[in-house]
This record gives sequence, structure tokens and C-alpha cells, in this order.
Amino acid sequence: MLTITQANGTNVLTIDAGRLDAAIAVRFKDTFLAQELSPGPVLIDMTGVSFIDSSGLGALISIVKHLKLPGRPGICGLQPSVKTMFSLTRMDRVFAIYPDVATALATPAQ
Amino acid sequence: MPETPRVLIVDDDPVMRDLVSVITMAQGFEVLQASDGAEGLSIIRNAPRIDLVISDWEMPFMDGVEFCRQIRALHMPKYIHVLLLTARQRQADFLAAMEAGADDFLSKPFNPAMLSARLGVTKRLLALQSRLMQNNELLTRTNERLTETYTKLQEDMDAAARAQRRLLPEPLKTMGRAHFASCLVPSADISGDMYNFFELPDGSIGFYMVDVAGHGARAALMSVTLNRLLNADAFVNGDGRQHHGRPHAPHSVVSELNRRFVPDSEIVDHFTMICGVLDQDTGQLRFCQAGHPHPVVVPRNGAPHAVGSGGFPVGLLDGMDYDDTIVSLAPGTRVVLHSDGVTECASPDGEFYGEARLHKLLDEVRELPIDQVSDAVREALYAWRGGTGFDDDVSVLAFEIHS
Repeated sequence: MLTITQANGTNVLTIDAGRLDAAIAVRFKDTFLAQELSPGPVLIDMTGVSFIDSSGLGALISIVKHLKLPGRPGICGLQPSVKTMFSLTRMDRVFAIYPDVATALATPAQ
Repeated sequence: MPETPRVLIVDDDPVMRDLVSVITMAQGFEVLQASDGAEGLSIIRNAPRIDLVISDWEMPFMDGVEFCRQIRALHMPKYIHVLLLTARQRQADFLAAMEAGADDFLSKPFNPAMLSARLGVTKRLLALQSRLMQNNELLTRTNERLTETYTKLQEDMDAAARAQRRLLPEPLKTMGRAHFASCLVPSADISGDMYNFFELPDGSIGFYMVDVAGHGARAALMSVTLNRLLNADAFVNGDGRQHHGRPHAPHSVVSELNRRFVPDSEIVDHFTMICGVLDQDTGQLRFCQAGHPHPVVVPRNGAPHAVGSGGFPVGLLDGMDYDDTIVSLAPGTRVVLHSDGVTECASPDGEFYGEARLHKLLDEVRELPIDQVSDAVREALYAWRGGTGFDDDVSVLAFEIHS
């Protein structure tokens, strides 16, 4: 559901959940909270998520709140329905949105 | 600790009875005796519990095999292990005895060591049986408790759902020049949709639609709380400043809710909403969209189109700015608000109904009176779903101003 790897000093959170919705939102958040993060920027890779609902968004924002990062965490790999949801809910105010992991890692952290 | 096993020894020969008794008592059994089958059956029927019967095969009146058969015919609640003592060696005899219900045999003249060993086996079986019965009983009790808890939960869910539904406005209502029609089709797993509209002191109409994230009684109760908070007063005096009866901008109603519901730590209840004010004299519609699907405007002459530029959901992060969208409605223009239960209603192969189909449907039913719009949406979604119930509440709130 969630794996954390390091790339160039960035914590990359790869979500592989298919649907990030009410059915798994709580489990997803708890899985994240059980993991250790290294200091440094965070990038969330959503390539494996085809659908997100408002409970899923709530879980993502819980994670962001928990991280207490100085800037916006990066997020990338938004599939069309996820992109629509992000624009409807103005998630660009919370996340720096990139097309993919490579582009995100090549962009200096904000 | 299992109870002391109780054995019944049946033999017409008192010397044999005593001999077997001594050996079984040494193995820790409590012993009862009978001198023939009839007496044995009477003891089994009346004694609190017999675990094991050791019976001679050759007895007057009723032989050991018939005795076995009659024991089994009693259908005692707990299984009785039966051991027959016999000098017989023929296979056919053993088969007949097992058929009648005997569990084990010991040859006569018997070897006390063999009998002790057989009793050891019997005790192991009794211990297993007793564990099994305890587990069964535990399962039965647990199952009863689960059923009880489930029933109670279901009742709570139903109560929450009823409280939620009772607060919804009537399906068709006229307020001055504005006509409102609405419906909520609940999903099996109740959720937190809520909508309402009311006249404000200056004659305009305040309205909202809310969808609390998640499902169940909790979401339903949150929607009830929001119904209580979102009244005309919240639209006019909600920010603590005097507006002389004039509603303040919808985005400040939403900001106020966000301030109230953003938690310090854990995100608990959050929701999406549309909150707006309709001026029926000028036809001006002003609304704030907070993460909720776009309202659809159906002009008299023109294609249905989405309005609003999106916005952050409520109750997630503090300090979020919300803004209003202003739309001028010509007489006869129809506006349709809906929950994501409409656009995210999935067909049997998982495809969402989507905005495009909704717009097309609203175009097709534009000539129908407004009270048939929500019915049309509901019917279209049932058909899209393939006749099964909905995964999420489906709510539709439509209005139009007549000249």
C-alpha cells in the first residue's frame, strides 16, 4: 500500500493502492505513521492511484500535517481522475505538483 | 480443570464389578455400578453425567450389545464412551457390537495393565471432548454477543439515518419566485449528505449542500450537526459582525465553518460543500464551492455547463481562503447541485457516470417541470448502476427563478 525509499536525499512515498478512498483511508494513514522518515524533503508518488475521494484526500492531508515540513511536499504521477479531484479541491495550495518522479527530483525543493 | 470422569460398570458378576472398579478408581474415575442392562440404563438416565460405560458382553436379560444400542437410543446430550468386556473373538461379533454403538473392546480374562491403558485413552478422549464442548460454548456465546452488538449498531445507524432524513426540506417547495426540488437516495451504508435552503431577512434565499467524508452513523450525525449550524442566522450574523439583515458573502460562512472544524491534531470530520445566496429579485447567484462537485447551470437557451472554480474542502487545514463565484441567472434558468454520489456512481464494470452524462441528461429533461429533474437523475443512475443500490448517498438539489 505504501513504501518509502530514498532518492537524492528525498523521501519518496510510493502509494500503490488503486483506490485511495474511505475504505482504506484510515489503514493508509496508520501504515504511514508506523514508518520512519529520514530528514529532508518528501515526494509522494501517486502513479499507482487511479481514484481518490475526500476521505483519501483527508488521509493525505493528515500525513502532510504530521510531517510538519517547512515547505509544500511534492506530489507526482496524478492520473486523470485524481488530477480532476486535485483541481476541484485546490490541492495545489498544499502540494507542489509534478508530472513524474524524475521531474520532481530534478526540481530544487521549494 | 475438567470434572472427575464418571464411569458406570455393568456386570452380573459382583466379583468382576469390584475388580474393574478398583482398577478404574485407581485411574481417577468416580465409579457407579449396575448388575444388569436395565439398571444401567436407569442410572444413565438419572445420574447427572456418565462419561464412560464398561459393560460385560454376556449378561442375562439384556446382553452388552443390546445395552449399547439402548444407550445410543437415549440420545444423551454428552457422548458416552462404551467399552465392552468379552471372551468372543469372532470378527462378526465385533462388527455387530460396533454397529450397535460400542467404541472399544477388552478381551476376557482381562489384563489389568491393558484395562489401565484403555482407561488412559478414554481420559484423553474425554479431555478432548470437554475442550471441544467448551470451545463450542465459547463460540456460541461470542456469536450471540456479536449478533447483539451488530443489531445495536444497526439500530444506531438507522436512528442516525432517520435523524438525518428528517432534517431535509420537503421535495418540492416554492419560495417567492424561486422553485426548489430535491431528493436524497440513501446508500445501504448511510453517509453524510445534507442540504437545505431558507429565506433570509432581506428576502434572498440561503442554501447549501454538504457531503461529510466517510460513511456510517458518524458521518450522518456530523451532517445533522451541520444542519443545526447552517441556518439563516449563520448566513446573516455568523461572523459576529452586524450586517443589518443582509447576508454576508457565502465564503465567510464557509471560512467560519472551517475555523470551527479544523482540529488541532488528528483530522476527524471533514466535508465538502456548496454554500450560496440567491437573490430572487435580481437573479444573482453567489456561491462558495469548497471541494464539492461543480453546480450545473441549465440556461433557457444554451447548453448545461458547470460553474465554480473549485475550492478547498472544509475541516482539513486552517487558514484556507475561500472565494465566491457570481452568476447571473435569467428567468427560467435552472441550477442543479449534486453530491459526488451522482458523478461517481459506478456502472457494473466500474465506469463513473461522470459530469458529461449528467449535463447531457439535464439537457434532455430541460422541458420537464423541476420536480421531475431529481427523479430523472435517480432513474438514470439506477439504470447506469444496473439496477443495484448505490454505494454513496445520491443527493440532488435543483432550483430556478420564474419571472
